[in-house]
Amino acid sequence: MKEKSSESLESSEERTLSSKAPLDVCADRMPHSSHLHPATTDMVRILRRSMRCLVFGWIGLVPMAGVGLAIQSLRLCRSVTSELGVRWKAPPVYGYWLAGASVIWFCDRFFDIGTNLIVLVALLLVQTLHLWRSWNDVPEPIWNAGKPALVWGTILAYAGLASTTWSVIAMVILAVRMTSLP
Amino acid sequence: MNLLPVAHRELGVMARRARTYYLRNLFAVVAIALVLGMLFAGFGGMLTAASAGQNLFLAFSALAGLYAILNGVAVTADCLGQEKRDGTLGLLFLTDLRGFDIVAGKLVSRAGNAAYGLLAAMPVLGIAPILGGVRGEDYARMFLALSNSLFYSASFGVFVSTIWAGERRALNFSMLGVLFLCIILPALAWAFTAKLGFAAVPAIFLWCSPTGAVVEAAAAAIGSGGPGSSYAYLLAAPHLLAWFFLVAAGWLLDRTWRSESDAQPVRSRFWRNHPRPVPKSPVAAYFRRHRRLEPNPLLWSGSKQGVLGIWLLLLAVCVGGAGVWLAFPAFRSEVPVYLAFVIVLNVSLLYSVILSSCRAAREDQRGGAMEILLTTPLGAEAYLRGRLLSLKRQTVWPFLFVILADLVAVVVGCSQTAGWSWEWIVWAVGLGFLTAKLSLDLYAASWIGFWQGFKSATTMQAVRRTLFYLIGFRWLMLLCVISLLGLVTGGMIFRTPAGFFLAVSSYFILLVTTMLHYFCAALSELRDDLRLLASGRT
Repeated sequence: MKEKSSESLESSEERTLSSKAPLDVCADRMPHSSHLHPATTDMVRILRRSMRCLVFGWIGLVPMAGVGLAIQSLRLCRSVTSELGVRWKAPPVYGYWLAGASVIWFCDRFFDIGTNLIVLVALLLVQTLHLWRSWNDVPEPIWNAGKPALVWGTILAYAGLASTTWSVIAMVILAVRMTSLP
Repeated sequence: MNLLPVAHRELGVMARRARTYYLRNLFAVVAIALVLGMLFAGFGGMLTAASAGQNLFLAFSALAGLYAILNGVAVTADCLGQEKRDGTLGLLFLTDLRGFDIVAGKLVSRAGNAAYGLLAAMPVLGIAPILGGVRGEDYARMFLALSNSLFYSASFGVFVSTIWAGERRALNFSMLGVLFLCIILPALAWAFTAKLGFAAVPAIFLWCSPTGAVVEAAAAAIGSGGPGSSYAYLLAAPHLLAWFFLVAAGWLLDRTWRSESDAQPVRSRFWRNHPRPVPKSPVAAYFRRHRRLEPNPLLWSGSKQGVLGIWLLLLAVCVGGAGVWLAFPAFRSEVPVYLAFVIVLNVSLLYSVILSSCRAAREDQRGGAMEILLTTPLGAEAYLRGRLLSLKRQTVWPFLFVILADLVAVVVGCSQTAGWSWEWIVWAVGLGFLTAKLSLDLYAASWIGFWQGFKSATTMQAVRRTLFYLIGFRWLMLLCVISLLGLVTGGMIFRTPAGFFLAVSSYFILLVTTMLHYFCAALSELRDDLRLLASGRT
């Protein structure tokens, strides 16, 4: 009797699902039902923004001159994730920036410039890994074909922001050292 | 009933708005960066504390005076015209409000933030009396003169707005009027007084302008001869004139709010009354129209907008420059005179392009043209392409004219100052840099202007924002960098060549950064969200 009732429940569910449009079924089965129905999400625009996020991220990698585009890349990423209902939050990468700044500050006391650069690149790689892993844990309510571009755009933008921060600190330290020379 | 109820309400609304406080803080930050930048990089190490105080006082007062005059009129120029065009002015008159109540309310609501900004920036000027060379009394005089300038220009803007309901004409007349009254007229009066050898400038030229009080306060601070009239009169006469503008605006508003709006351009009204004659050669007319309509309909629509305003502005600058050159032979050997002329000419063209792009977007959005266009198969991409192409075609001849005028200025300047020497190379490199920068600025300005035209409530707001994004933000950041470097090195860095190198390289980096940032923001949003922007839902 129980088997029969469960079978009838399943069949009724299937009937209900089959009567719905495929996109509606997707929307019902989503783990985090987005505020927007997938049919109303302009996927072409999402894709275009994801690609643009990557391009801006690449240019944003240039220290100082690219900082504006790095910010634009992060803005695009935020708009795409909010539109798709993806709950991604950037990990606290400021720790790496602080570590890099202290490495630059103590440059001529403990390390030479070559070692300094190696440490900074290593910090950037760790930050990249941290950011990349943070994207893996995020559920994706609506499939976005441009997700790799979005992820790498964000990673490059954060790397650009880190390198800009370090460049500014290096410039200030250089100015201080130059004026304190006898 | 309260005294000035609209003003009372508007002040309450402003007090509850977060933007008021952000703007006030921004003005204070700008003033601090400006003063520290001037002290460390401009006057640090070259002068004594007293002369640094005096120079700081003069430079800051000049910038604050320009801000008060230009911003005051820009914020109020279209305040009542907008209400007239929207048809909401009549609703206000259904209550027992009078014209003066509305005028005072508009003045307070529009010029309030500008006044708060000036108030926030003034304590920073107080550093000058502490440094020395300037007395506290001079500081108080300058504060009164600057506040009076803001009140005067804002009142003039409200007065013009009562007369003309059309946005374009209200903006043009108010800006030209205030520039003439506050800058051109006193400058001409001083120039011709000096040229003709008179003892003092005739008082009538100074009493109708608030600039006289500012100059008198500055002259008293540095101990030189002022414009030759008492400070009290120079302060009181423009103040009374500003009250006259306000009372006249209230009186006119009571009588003219029912009148037919003049928002429609004169040319359109003319052609409505006088139908266009049938062209003699319809085939030629068809092909002429077809040539513009075929590539993009927006190109044809844009070609109907005149470029007379751009040409008039550029010609006015050129005539002014030529007049100064002819009238004052002493200036002919001064390099800054030629540099100032080239910069003013380039900025005038940039301003014209920004105004055209902001206006085009605002008019398309307000007039409903966007809604119609975007329901056709034309699409957003074609709209953007057509508008930018039309702007490019409007600007190409003025751009070439500006380059030619720059070239003439450089050749004349070089022959008058440097002679035939290696310095020609420096002049040529400078001209090449300015031309390249102008081209990039114009391209970025057209995109950013369109973007802000859709995002802002009024054309003037869009123009102000675009100017800030394109020019103001870059200079503010540069001053912040200079201040930071000056603070951490105690000003020592600017006594070495490295300081100069750091400042120049920071300028170029900021030029690229800010331009790329805002240009890409505009491009991204216009390409992706044009429909949302057009509907005003962003």
